[in-house]
This record gives sequence, C-alpha cells and structure tokens, in this order.
Amino acid sequence: MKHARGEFIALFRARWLACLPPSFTLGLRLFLRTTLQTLSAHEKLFHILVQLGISERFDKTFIDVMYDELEQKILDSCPGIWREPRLEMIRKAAKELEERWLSAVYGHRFSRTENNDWFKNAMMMVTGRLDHFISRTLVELRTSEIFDIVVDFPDTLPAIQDLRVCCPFLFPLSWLPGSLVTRVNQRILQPAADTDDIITFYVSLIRCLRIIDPQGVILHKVAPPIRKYLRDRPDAVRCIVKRMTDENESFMQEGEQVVPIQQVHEAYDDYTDPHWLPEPVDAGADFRTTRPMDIVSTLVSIYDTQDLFIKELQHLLAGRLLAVRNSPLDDEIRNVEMLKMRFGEAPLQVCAVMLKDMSDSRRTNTHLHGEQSHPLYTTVISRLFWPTIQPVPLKMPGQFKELQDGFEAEFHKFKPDKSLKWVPQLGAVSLNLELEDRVVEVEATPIQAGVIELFSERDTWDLEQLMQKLGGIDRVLVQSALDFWIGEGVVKNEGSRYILLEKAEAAKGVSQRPPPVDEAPRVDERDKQQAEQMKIYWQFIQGMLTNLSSLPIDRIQAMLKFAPGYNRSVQELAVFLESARKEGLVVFTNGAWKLEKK
Amino acid sequence: MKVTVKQWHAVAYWRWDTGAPGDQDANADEDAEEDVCGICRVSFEGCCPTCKMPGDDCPLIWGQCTHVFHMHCLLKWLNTASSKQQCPMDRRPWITAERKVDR
Ligand SMILES: [Zn+2]
Ligand SMILES: [Zn+2]
Ligand SMILES: [Zn+2]
Repeated sequence: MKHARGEFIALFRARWLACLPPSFTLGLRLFLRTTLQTLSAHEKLFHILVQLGISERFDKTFIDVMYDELEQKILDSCPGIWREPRLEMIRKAAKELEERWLSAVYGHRFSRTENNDWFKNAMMMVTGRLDHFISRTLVELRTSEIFDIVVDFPDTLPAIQDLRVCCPFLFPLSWLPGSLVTRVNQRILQPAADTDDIITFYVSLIRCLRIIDPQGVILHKVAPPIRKYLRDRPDAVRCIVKRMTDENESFMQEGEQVVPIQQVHEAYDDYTDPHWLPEPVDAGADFRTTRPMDIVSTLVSIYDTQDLFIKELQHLLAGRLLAVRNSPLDDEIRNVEMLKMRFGEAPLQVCAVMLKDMSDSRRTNTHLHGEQSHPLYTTVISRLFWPTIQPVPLKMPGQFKELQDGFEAEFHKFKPDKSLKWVPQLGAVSLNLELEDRVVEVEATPIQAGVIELFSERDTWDLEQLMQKLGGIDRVLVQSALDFWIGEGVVKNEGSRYILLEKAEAAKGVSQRPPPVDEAPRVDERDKQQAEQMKIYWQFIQGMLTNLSSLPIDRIQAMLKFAPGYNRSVQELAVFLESARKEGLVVFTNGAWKLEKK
Repeated sequence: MKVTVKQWHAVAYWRWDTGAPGDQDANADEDAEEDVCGICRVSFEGCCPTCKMPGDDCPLIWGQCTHVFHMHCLLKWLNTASSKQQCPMDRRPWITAERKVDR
C-alpha cells in the first residue's frame, strides 16, 4: 500500500507540476515575499506547498526570496551610511531570516524525518551563498559610492572596513578601478580643483585602498593619473612640503616608519615597470614589509628628483625661522631631523646650517645684551645657505640707525673677523607711538617703521622726500607704508603731502581706511625670487622668439616645458613677460609676444 | 609724536672681514661674489669640502702674502709633499699673518 501511495504522489506531482507556466516562478517568488512578515500565520500554507511538491520543485525560488529580502534590506539601510559598520548587522539579519524562513518552509518536513544531517548541510550551503550574496551586493553598492567614501575618509572608516571584510570573497575587484578612475577624472583632476584637495584625496585614497586591498593592485591602477596630474601642477611641491612639515598634519600614521627616500625609488621603479605584476594572493603577510612606502615617500616619489623638495623646504623653513620671535626652535629642529631621515643628511645640510644660524644668533644676542631685554634682536644668517634675498637699499632712519650701528659695533668686537650686512627689509617691529591725544601700539614692517620714524622728526612730508630719506627705495614700497599709517589713522594725505595726525580725526580716518595691503616681506621675497629664477628661462624664450619671430603665450609655455626644471604656471609666465615688456625686452602685439627690435 | 621701539627683530648676514680695501662699501657686494677660496673654489662664506657648517666652524686663514684660504684647505695643502710649505697661489713661503687668525 505504502508503495502505491508513493507512486501516486510522484505521478501526480510530475503531471501537475509540468502544467505550471514559466511565469509561475515569478508569481511564486512575489507571493512568498508577502508571507515573510507573518510567517507563523502561514503554517498550513507551507504544509500544502510541501505536499504539492512545490517546495521541492521550486527550492531555488524559495532561496531567491531571501536574496530579494536581503537586497532590499541593504538598499534600505546602507546607501550613504558610511560612518557606522553595516555588514555585521546585515549578516545577523540574514542569519535570522534564514532560520525563520527555512524552518517555516521546510520545518514540517524535516522535523518529522530523521534526516537532520542533510538539513544541516543544506543550511550551511545556503548560509554560504547568502553571505556571498551580501558581500557582492554591498561591494557593488560601495563601489558606486567609493569616491565620496574616500573624500570623507577617515570618517568613513567603518564603510571601508566592511569592504575589506567583503573583498576577499570577490578578489580581484576588477570593476572598482574603472569606476574610481572615471570619478577621479570628473571630480578631482580638474583645473578648478584645489591642489591641496587633490593631495588630500590622494592620501585618503592610499589609506583606504591599503585597507581594502593591502597588495596595492587597485592603487597601482588608479594612482598614475593622479600622480601625473600632481606632477604638472606647479604648486604641488609647495603644498606637499608645507603639509609635510605641519605638525597638525598627520601624514604619518601610528606605527608607520619613516622610510628613506632612496629605498622608495627602488620600489617605485617596480611599480612603473609595464611588466609589473601583483604578487600572488598567497604572497604572505610580509609582502608589504619588504617594500615599505609611507605617505610622504609616496608623495615625494611623484617626482623624479628630490631637488624640488629640498629647495621648497629651504624656502619654507627660511620663512618660518625669520617669523619666529623668541619662541624655542624645538619644533623646527625636530622637523629637520625627521626630514633628514627621509632625504638623507646631505641634501638637508642647508637646513641644518639655517637652524644653526638661528641658535648661534640667540647666543650672540644674549652675549651682546645680557639677559635683560633689548629692543633689537638680530638674526645673523649665513647668506649662501638661505634662499636668495634681493637686497632693498633701505636705510633705516633715526633711532633705528642708532640701534643698528650699536649692534654692528658690538658684534665686531665679539667676532672681530666678521662684519654684518643688514637685510633691512626683513623682520618685524613692535612700536609704541605717543601722540598728543592717544597712544598707538602696532606691529609694523621695517619700511613702515622707517616711514613713521621720519614723521617723528617732522610732521609733513611728500613721497619723494621720504623715498630719498629711506635710501632711495622703490616708490611703491613707500606708498604702501604710507597707506598702512593712513589706515592706522596716524597719517593723512592732502594733495601730494602726508601729514602726521597728532590729534585723531576719527571718522575720516576710519572711512578712508584703504584695503589692507598684504605686505608680508616673505611674499615679497618669494615673488622676487621667482622672477629671478624665471630669468634662467629668458634665454630659452629669447631663443624661440628669435627663431619663430612671434608666439602666443600658450605656445611659449608649451615650449618651455622642454626647458630643464621648468615648472611655472602660465600666470607666472605672464607676470614675467609683462616685466620683460616693461624692461623693453619684448613687445605684445596681436595676441603674441615678440622680441623688441634693437 | 614719540616713537618707542618695543622690539625689533632684524635680519643681517655675516661676512668675513677680509680687510680688503672697499670691504665696508655698499657696492662691495659684486666683488664679494668672486671671493672664493683659491684652493677649493668655494666661497669664503661657504665651507670647505670637509666641513658642513660655515663660519666659525670653518674659519679662514690669512697669509702674509695677503692670500686668504679656508684654513682647512690650506692645512691640507701644506700637508702635501708638493706644497713645499708654499702659498699655492704665488709659491712664496707660507707665513700665517698674525692679524686675523686668533682673536
Ligand atoms: Zn677652500
Ligand atoms: Zn672646513
Ligand atoms: Zn700667497
């Protein structure tokens, strides 16, 4: 009897199931999903489905229902949520769903059979497939979001960590580089993007990918365009160096080791090799440690030489050292020591001399003035080891001259074989001006101080007189110093005359306050030096204009790219050409530059 | 108006006082560019090839013949057999001038 019943059921199922149209699968799938919320109410339904053989025949659809449900769950709870881990939560939900679902659907059948091992195996297989499905779905989602995740890194670390857990299932992530490169091109490698932002992005990208893909396969594909773009940006070196030496910047992560740059170049050569292949997956945990590459080294290796960095460092350090007053030099010393570890002792010798000049100066000033405070503090520098400083023929008047002379005489007694040469435009002065009705306290540049000192001798001057009294310095410099004092309400302008305001003319002074003039001498120096360095390229420009008679600026810029070490922007070139025009070397007609005929 | 200087942070660079005429002139700058050690061809204000720090750590030495060198360069030269204890520039016997060396 039992046999006959079995045969009947088998026949019934075979015939009946064969009648079902193909669209039944989809219908079943959608229908089953509606039962998920109220599973316990459908006990009978699932019993019938088993009886009809549907549960067995359409077992794949019963699994698909879980996929659908989990996909929905991921799409509901993950997009745009990067600041907290999601994967664990979804895996837990999957586990819970799976148990609930499978025991509801097949529970009937299996609870009454002894074949529990088979059920457990089946469960395990399903669990594995679900897990893979979750990983794939989440990786697909995060891949589409990866650009913004990188931009917001490290706040988005949880999302990145989720990805790391998912990725081993899906190695290699062939689609990640493609989508990333597109977004990077659209959003980052644009003329409007700030160089600092590009660097920040690159650094975040390195950090993110180091987590997701420690072997660096993805980075190897994504980084080259960024590196090339940065190489062509004239201010990139400056930005990198500035951040390298900024103590608030965390280019170094905990546990990272400073890597001497030479070693970096060896590793970098490997990466640029067109035949370079990633180490196999089983290369082992020590793959990284044999080729260490910290962030700074990675950034420096964008360039073929370190010279640019050293020059920029020297510049930056010079600016910072001359800006420090009496604060300790510890930070700068530590910085230079750290950089020595990277670039080696020799290239940083220049910086070491600069630091020594600073500490020697401190000793000299203390020796000359004792411990009590003296109005003049002089930093004595070793000329050849500092950025070129164009002398301004400024002659400080009055008490400033006396202070200088006094210091010079004392210095010569202390160091008889040396003499001093002032760089009068550098430095800063704190002044107190006692006027009839008020006291004005200001921080001024030496030129501003020189101008106001002259007003203490006589209260009316014109521009020419001031220029002459200050040693024949440029009109622009005197004018901007006067503007400063007009802004402070200390001097007023009447026709060609400038008059000291012993009594404040409040309302007028304020309303006439000119826009602040950026007069930081460092900037001044920097521009001057750039103009000076630009002169090296004059012979190239002269050469091409001789051969080609006249050229628009873009062509000149393009051709200068072939000149060794040329890294100027078109704007910088334009400034230079304009100054060459003023000197009567070139003329500008019909949108093109040509040489002035001699 | 009374101007009081509370604090003035000034910058100057040092030069060897080689005692050459016109050394104190403002327009001595251009000549100074040419002031290099006759042995190593490096500026006096730079340092000799064996030194890292310029200035007091790598001082100059004056000869009675009026030639000036990095002290280390000259001592190295005098230590070679071919020097015959002569000034490398004029081949006169080297006699260190008293004036500048110790202060
Ligand atoms: Zn020498
Ligand atoms: Zn020396
Ligand atoms: Zn001689």
